Amino acid sequence: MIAVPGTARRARIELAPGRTLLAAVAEALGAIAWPSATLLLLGGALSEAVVYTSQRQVAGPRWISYGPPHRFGPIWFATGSGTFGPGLETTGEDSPSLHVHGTLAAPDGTPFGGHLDPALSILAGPIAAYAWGAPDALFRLAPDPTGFTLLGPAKP
Amino acid sequence: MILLARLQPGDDLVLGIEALAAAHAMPNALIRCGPGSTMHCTLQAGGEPFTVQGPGVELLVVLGELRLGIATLHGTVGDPTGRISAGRFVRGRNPVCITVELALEQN
Repeated sequence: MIAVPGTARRARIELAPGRTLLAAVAEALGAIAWPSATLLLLGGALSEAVVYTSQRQVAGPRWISYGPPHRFGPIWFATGSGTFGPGLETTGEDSPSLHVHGTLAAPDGTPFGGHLDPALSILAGPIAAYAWGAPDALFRLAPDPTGFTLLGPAKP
Repeated sequence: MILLARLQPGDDLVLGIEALAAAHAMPNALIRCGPGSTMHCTLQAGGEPFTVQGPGVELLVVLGELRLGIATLHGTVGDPTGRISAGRFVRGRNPVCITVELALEQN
């Protein structure tokens, strides 16, 4: 367990249609000068969605990985959760990262849930989101013993 | 105050949040779990507990509260086929797989 306390702040943001989830969140948070947030994503239409679920890894440094992509489009995004934060300071890879899990729904209501690829999932209409964060604490990308690069709490 | 946190592999979802809250003297809080995964997931929805098998179960939206240091969590999860289940997370039976990102907002 890792934790960093901060001074709570909350904002409502609106994610712009035509953008990827990653670009839409980065732009909306950038407009209020937040480098990081945890997000509750409300519903809306996606023109495309790429979703991953887990599978056991039989070789390599990780015991688990993502399976092949599930591609949808257009599809309804029902709800989701996300974490957004800056990239790796140590390697100079300073591109921000967005980790998103959510529920998609087909037109007949059939749901599908998993990890959305934020760079390949595209908004067809606006999606509202609530963001929580702190000026004195954030989530930042860092290498992890699991073999993944993960967002974790840190001081700015 | 808000506590930004991450649970690590092997931590229990409910007990881990209670331990975080105790360590930071935050007995009452809104719990917002961001994305994360458990190795398997045991939920209860008014009947007997049931288990969603992994190897990784994706936490989709998980909300809850801490009251006097006791955490109650409800939400939706997706299994490796994308099938969704929902309910209350059973204490001690939801081991974290890779990570769970979360925020505890004091109230």
